[in-house]
Amino acid sequence: MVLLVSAVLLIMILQLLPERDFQRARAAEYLVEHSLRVLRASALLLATIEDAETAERGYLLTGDDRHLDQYQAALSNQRQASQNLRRLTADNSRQQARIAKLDGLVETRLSGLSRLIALYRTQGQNAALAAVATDDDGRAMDEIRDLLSAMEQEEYGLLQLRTKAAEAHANHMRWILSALLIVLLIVGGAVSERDIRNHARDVEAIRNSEERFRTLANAIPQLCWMTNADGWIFWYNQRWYEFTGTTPQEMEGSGWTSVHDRKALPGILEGWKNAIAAGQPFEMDFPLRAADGAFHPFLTRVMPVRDESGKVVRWFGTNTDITAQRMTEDALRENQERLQLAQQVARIGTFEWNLKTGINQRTPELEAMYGLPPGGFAASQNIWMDLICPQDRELTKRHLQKAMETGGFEAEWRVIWPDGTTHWLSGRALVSKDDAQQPLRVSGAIADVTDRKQAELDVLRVNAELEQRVRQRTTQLEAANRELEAFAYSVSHDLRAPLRGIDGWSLALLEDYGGSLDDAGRQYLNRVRSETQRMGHLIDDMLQLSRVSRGEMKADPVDLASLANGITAKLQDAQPERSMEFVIEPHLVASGDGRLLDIALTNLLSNAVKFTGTRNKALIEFGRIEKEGEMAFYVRDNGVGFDMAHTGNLFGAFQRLHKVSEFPGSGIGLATVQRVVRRHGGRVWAEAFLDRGATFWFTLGGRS
Amino acid sequence: MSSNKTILLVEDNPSDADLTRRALFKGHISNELMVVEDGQEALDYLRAEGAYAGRNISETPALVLLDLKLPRVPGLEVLRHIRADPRTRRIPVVILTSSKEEEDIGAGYDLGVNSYVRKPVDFKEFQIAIENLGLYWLLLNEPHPPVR
Repeated sequence: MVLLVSAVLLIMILQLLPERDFQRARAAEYLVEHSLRVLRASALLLATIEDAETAERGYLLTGDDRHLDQYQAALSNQRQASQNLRRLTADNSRQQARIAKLDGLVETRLSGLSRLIALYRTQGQNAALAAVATDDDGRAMDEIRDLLSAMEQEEYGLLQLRTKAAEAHANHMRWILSALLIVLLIVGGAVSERDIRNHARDVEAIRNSEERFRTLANAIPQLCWMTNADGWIFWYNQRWYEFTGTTPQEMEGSGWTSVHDRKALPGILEGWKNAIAAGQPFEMDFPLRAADGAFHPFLTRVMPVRDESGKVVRWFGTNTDITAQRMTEDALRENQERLQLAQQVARIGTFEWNLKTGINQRTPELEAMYGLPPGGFAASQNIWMDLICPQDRELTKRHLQKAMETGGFEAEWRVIWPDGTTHWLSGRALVSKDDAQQPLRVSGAIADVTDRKQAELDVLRVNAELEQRVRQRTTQLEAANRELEAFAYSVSHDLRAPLRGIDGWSLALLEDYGGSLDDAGRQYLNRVRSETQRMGHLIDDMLQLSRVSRGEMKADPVDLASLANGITAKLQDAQPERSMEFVIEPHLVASGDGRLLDIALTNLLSNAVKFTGTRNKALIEFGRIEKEGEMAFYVRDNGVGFDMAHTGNLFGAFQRLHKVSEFPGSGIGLATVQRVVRRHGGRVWAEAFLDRGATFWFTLGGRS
Repeated sequence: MSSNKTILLVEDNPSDADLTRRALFKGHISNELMVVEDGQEALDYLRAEGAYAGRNISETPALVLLDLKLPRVPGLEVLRHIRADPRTRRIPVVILTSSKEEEDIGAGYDLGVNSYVRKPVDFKEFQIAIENLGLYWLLLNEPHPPVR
């Protein structure tokens, strides 16, 4: 603006300058200009002659007719240049004289050239080239150059004079203009040179920026274009043409509609029209047709470009191919749908609780687990805690607090749905921390485990019922046991009494009436007595077996060696006639029930004594040895032994390996031993060979 | 002297009672044998009550042979009453039974029995036991002074 005002002012002032000054200045400038034209015309003339010469030489060397065309053109130019020079120097007689002389020299020179061409045509190249070698027309050329040089010297002289005159006039004008400018500066202010320079720079910058923009616009993958304020597209980038396979001509005017989907077009046009009317950015998804005819989804954005006053001067539009984005979005959506389906199937709900923002994102499945409709958690801040069963709230809070320190939790709690029903939930969560180790986010998964819980409760209930039943059975069993004891008591008492009677009266018969009987009769009565007594022992042994199975067990330190010594002493006393050696390892202390162990040892040692009855000297050992990692006691004898093949049920009640006539016994002794050993947690076994003695082993279940 | 004093046998089995009588006879123990067949009768005799009212209560038996398994009042209960009654508490009581149960033996001694003898099936052994009892309690043992 400042520039414009200054220019107008300058023109107005110039109009006020004296007309004479202008005319002089203009005349001086004209003369300078004239001299310069003469110099140029002179140089041009020389150049045309040299051109003709060059073309002729070219022809002579190559025989190519094109050089002849150049030669003719050069001649034509030479005639024009010659006339021009003559006209320009019409005001100078000296120069006119030189031109007259120059014309003759040029004529000579050109005719010489024509002659050589004719010679080439009539006599061939060699003749023409030979003539060139002897050409003395070269001198004419030198004269032409000298003459033209003289003309130029003349004009340079004039130019100097005229320049000086023009400069004088110019100085005169400069002074006037300087004065005017000073006035102008004072009056009009700032028409500074700097402004002008800045303006020039701005223009340059705009030009550069425009160039840069176009380079950039062609480089980006988007299609882009510009319209004027009315929406008339005047420029597309290269990518547009490449993608659509169109040409700039096809795109002229409303050619752009041809690459749109016909169905989408009305909507696009309406939106675009509204955007232009409102001067607002326009954004829309619609397809564009590619060069191969397939439509691609595009996101189109058009931004208004405004001038300083805010008026829209242009629109700048881009179309971004969102095929890949769409595919990604589709894949993401499918994944989310799949995840949601998986959660629905697995009945798992998830949440992500941002502790900084307080926003807790929950899946619909989770809402359903709390009996809430979709979005139900939004109803109140603490609804999730309010729905937790009151008894479980504190525990849940503690789990959460602890998770902040430990980084996660795994818990089960009950929720009471708005409909009043109770449901069990099982959840796991992880706490993520920020760089400062502050809890940032709690994310977790929760499953409805009501069914499992119900099953667990059922199992507990069944277990409780089972235990109750076991208690009942135990009570019944104890009652049965007591009955058995009562029975055993009765057996002991009532069965023995008649036996005693039979034995007693048989003896009375023998004593009082033995004389009336013969030997056989007395023998029969003795049989009655011995059988009766055997029955008595049988009952005693049965009662003993019954007793070792019942009653409390003690666990005292018991010296089995001491027990064995007592037992063997009695056994020796009972059969003083027998020769028996007892080898008893001293100090065999074990933990157990002394009474029961005494019964077991008595049975084993009695057996040893019994089955060595046929030996001249019985050798019976009792000791302890480590066998298969545990301490085992043994009772070994040198008796009749037995065949191991028949020991399958050696320790069962009433099992016998020998005839009663050989070795009397009830067959209950070893069963009693086994009961005692088993009650101590041990086991018993035997090793024997027929007629080579037997060894009975027993352990006491690590109590040794 | 206790040689002419009565022996009270509390035994419900007549066969056993007769065998005991035979054993005493064989062992030359000539004391009168009084047999009662149940616990209540034994107590009546000792207290001179019921069927035995009018009996001179100061004539206490020299020895009571007591079976445990008895009709009406069981043997251990009889023993308890004997020991609880000042008039009878000093009378020697020997339990003579088939039972070898520890519980019975322990309970007998707890109630103050003087001896516990198991009746063997073998009558010879039984006779030896009875002879020894008679020898000990009626001859060797110094009888208690009369209760006043």
